[in-house]
Amino acid sequence: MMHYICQVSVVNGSARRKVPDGKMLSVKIEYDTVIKKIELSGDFFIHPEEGITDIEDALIGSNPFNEKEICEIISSAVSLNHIELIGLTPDNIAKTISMAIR
Amino acid sequence: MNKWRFLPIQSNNAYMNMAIDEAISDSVREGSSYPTIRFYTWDPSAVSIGCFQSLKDEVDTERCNELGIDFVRRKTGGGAVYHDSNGEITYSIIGKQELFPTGIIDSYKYICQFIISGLLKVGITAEFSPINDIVVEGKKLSGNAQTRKDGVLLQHGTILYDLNIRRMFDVLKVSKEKISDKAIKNVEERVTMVRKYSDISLADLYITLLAGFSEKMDCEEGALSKKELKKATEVAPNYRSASWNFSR
Repeated sequence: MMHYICQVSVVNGSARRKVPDGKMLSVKIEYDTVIKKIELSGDFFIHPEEGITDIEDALIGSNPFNEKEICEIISSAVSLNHIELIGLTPDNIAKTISMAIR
Repeated sequence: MNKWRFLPIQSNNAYMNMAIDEAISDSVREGSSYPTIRFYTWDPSAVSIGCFQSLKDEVDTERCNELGIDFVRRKTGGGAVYHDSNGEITYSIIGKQELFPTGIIDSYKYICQFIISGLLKVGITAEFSPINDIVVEGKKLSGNAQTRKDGVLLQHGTILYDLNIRRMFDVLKVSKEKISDKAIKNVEERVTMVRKYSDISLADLYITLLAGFSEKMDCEEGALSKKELKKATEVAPNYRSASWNFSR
């Protein structure tokens, strides 16, 4: 009996855009079938500031190809951690992640 | 009416400027200092970036080093600002959150109205433009940024006095094609400065901006306490550190 191990290599991606009616948002991402590492940056506001790490941590291990699921994870992290996003939305972040993996 | 303290305009390096805000925030939080407004300039000139920005993406740090320009990450969000020593005034307003409207945009508007009142004394009719700008005839004259930590609100703002757009492009990371006459013209179409409307000196602009605040608030001149100065001196190296400035 043969066993095949399919190794998926980690890929880097990035995207930067001014979100509609909002601020500049950059995404840097490392992923294979799931998100390994992600960094959000830009001139937006997140209150409290630690909320950005809560959002990034929540995205680790999730499927980067499912924009809807990504958006739900971000919305849930925002709600759970009482985060206020100003100049960007969970949808903006999810779309920019999709752009980064294209 | 709550009593406020104002600190006369001071010039510091970027790291000390940020450290002073942290020290004041601590003393305001524990109730040992009044809520405070301070105006300041940056010596040497500096670039500050918002707390969520990537320094590598936004700032040509090598060029900054060549030109002797500091760079620092702020505790507040928002965008990169070039603080020319003679070309802008920065303010910080620090007070317990209950002194300000609860909503973030409302609190920006509330604080910006003091700056707008001051500008009106110079003959400049400015207005608040959400999220965080003050504009004159649709052009940005002032950018503002806020953080709230453990019950204390800190708002930074910059008031452009005489912006050197070429130097700004020199230190902020923009593509080479953007450093063109056309790009500079584009900036001039979006950004304005006090010197376009008034011959007022930077020193007098400070006095006028302060009046915009002090006429509406119970405000008395003060100085940093020994404790604040000690704390600021202690934490200033944190703002100089690569681990803070390159954290994103």
